[in-house]
Amino acid sequence: MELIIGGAYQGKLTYAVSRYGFAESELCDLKNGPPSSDCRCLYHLEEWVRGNKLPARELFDLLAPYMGDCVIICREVGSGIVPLDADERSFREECGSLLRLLAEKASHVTRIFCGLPEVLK
Amino acid sequence: MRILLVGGSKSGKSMLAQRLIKSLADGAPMYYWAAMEPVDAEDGARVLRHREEREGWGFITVERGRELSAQPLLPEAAVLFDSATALLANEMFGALGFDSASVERAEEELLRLSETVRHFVCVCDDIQRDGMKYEALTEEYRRGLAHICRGLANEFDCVCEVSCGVPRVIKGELPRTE
Repeated sequence: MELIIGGAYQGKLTYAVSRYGFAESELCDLKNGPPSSDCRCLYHLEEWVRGNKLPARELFDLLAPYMGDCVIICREVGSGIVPLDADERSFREECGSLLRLLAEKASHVTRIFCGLPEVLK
Repeated sequence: MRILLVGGSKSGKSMLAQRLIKSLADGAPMYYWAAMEPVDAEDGARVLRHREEREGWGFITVERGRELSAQPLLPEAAVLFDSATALLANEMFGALGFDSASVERAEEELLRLSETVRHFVCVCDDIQRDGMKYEALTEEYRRGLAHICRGLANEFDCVCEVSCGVPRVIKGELPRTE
């Protein structure tokens, strides 16, 4: 599994598609709900974390089927002011923790900055 | 040579850009292009601070926040453009309200400008990594600025992320500075 992270609108999905040539049917926008079984590229992971309100470890376990030949894409969300809203706070914390678990498991971690890839692992 | 410097607030982008331009110009004319259109006292103070920081460097100051191609420039010059952030704000939220064509236009203007001079260093703010959800127009602005940075990064020779005045090279190589 390759983990791709980066700030908002940096071109993460564009990079993944151009590098691996995923078909439309292999892409799963997690904004629209859980991934299907034939999915090879999961994106908007942060929206899935926001919607699920589960601890990072449980979210990680739910992603077990995608630890093989898959790409997981997530926005970096932890670099601003800690929000006043409790749900917003826990979303950012769980998202950060989940990314650490995923990065540990990933064979590659890539950060996209202005559309350019930077290999972190 | 064309360089893009992206970094957070007060990360030292402009000062690094000045050093790079000075080194690249190597005696040729240097322009400091200030794109921000000051609207209040705080902006005014920022303009003064930047002016002080480049005093004695020999920059010709250009203050123009839109219609970049109307500015006459010497083709052998080195231009420091500060900043894509300000340019898009001017173009997107002008007197006539929100302009949806502003992103493409600002990107096109910047790319064309960068091609008309010998050296070009563009500064841009990193506003994409805080996890907040903003109202629609602010998100349009964030998306637009990222779009412009990706466009420039794709074309330019060198791209750096700046923190604490220190560049981290993501693409290409930086020229040597004193």
